Amino acid sequence: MMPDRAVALDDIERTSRPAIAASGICKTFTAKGRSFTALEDVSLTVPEGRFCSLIGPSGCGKSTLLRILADVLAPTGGEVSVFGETPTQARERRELGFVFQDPVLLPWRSALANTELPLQLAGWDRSRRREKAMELLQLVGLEGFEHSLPSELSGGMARRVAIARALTLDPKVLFLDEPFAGLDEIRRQQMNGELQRIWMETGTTALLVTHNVAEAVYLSDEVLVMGGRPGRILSTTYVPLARPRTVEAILEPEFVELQREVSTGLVAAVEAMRQ
Amino acid sequence: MSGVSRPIRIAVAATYAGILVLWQVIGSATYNSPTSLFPPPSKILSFIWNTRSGLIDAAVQTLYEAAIGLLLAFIVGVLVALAADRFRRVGNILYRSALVLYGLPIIAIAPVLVTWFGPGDKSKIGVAFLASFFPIIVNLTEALREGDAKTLELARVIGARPAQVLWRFRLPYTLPGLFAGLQIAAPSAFIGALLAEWIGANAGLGVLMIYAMFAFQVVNLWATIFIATAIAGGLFFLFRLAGRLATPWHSSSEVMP
Repeated sequence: MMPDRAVALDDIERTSRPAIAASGICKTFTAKGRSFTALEDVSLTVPEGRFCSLIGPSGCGKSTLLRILADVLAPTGGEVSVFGETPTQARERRELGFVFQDPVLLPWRSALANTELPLQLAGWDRSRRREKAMELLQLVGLEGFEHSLPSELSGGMARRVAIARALTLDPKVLFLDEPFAGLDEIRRQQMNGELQRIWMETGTTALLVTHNVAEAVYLSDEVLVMGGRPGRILSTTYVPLARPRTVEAILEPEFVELQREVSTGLVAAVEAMRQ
Repeated sequence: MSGVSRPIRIAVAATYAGILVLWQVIGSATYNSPTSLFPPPSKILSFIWNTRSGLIDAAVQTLYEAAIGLLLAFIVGVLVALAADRFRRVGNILYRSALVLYGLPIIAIAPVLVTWFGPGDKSKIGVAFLASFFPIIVNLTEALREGDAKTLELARVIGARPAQVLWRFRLPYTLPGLFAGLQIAAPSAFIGALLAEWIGANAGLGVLMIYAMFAFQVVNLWATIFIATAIAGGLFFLFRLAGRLATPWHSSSEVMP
């Protein structure tokens, strides 16, 4: 029995190798002689293939943390590794996908041309990138809208394009910064269902920043609650529920219990902001 | 005019039609007086038609000078704006010097250029250049400065190189501003060339204007004014149309003089 068990443990360890490992992250912004510390000594680990969420009150530094992990911002201190590389190396190798709060589509490019933009910059030839972009637009449910300009797309469709674009280069890590903020509740639930499906189909590691407790619990394997000034991680809630999760599942007792736990964490986080 | 409602368009058209009719009536009534300054539009139009080949030659000459001046202004304006963007400190000095020059009245600098370069094309091209340079450089520089922070974050995330950031992300955003600049700059270049011709030239619409004025040929003078107005207005709408075609994704163009 022992050897089998050892193998099984080894497997578990291998599958849970860290995709992102950050320790001691600090970030101080300085403008016009005044400085503001947004993050102090933040450490976290996102295991490979997991879906993790950062949730917290406005101004707790969760978007800043996401931007540091994705090498959009440089930290003032601390270490980040993404699959053993620095975030800069990972970004330059185009291993990171990032979905912004606003879709940020280039208004002169069609949905298809926006989706294939990362491939174009990476030097893919026209037919290959077109094929790949079409595949991704299909994945996000936008077939038939390939040639629409962003101004002709609804808010939800524009967000789907942004997700497709972030997935074009098969990122090892997908960063999502409140990708569905501003959508109405029904549309948001739909998009969450789609995002879960896309994440399961691609098998990528995902890190989501959100304000929404139900969204965080529904999508995540782990929910990290952030708060305080400067911001830090206050608690972690594990969501060991089976997938795919249905939209109705958020009404089940286990879900409600986990949402309560995250909400309690959030109350503490808001309290920590006041001090 | 797509943003203008139909009743307003009709009102504008009616106003101009009213002015023309009134002008025709008063002009016809006073035409035989030796001091008539308002020949009726019918006389002016028939004069234009009868002397069309000479007028066309003159207009082509002035347009040519304006076009070369505008082209140079475009090239220099784009280069300086890009340099100002790339090398902030040197660029800002260049840009501010250019803005100080803007204070120089074209009407005052034109005689200087004609004195320097003589009555040929060069002095006209120089004045057209000066008249059209500022709208181009100001609009382009402002458009580059506005630069959308989110778009730049996107460029960074998807690993765009600096040249790609400029070409694929930033320059397309400047096109509406650039066309807004051109639709002011093109008529300015034309009027600049015309003005330089008044000071001294061998050919062009400005020369015809000056001859007509000194000979007190009021119909001739009005004919050149009609043509000059039509060309300046036409250039404005031409570049506006070009801007719309080049940036169909942009709803409206902000115009900065």
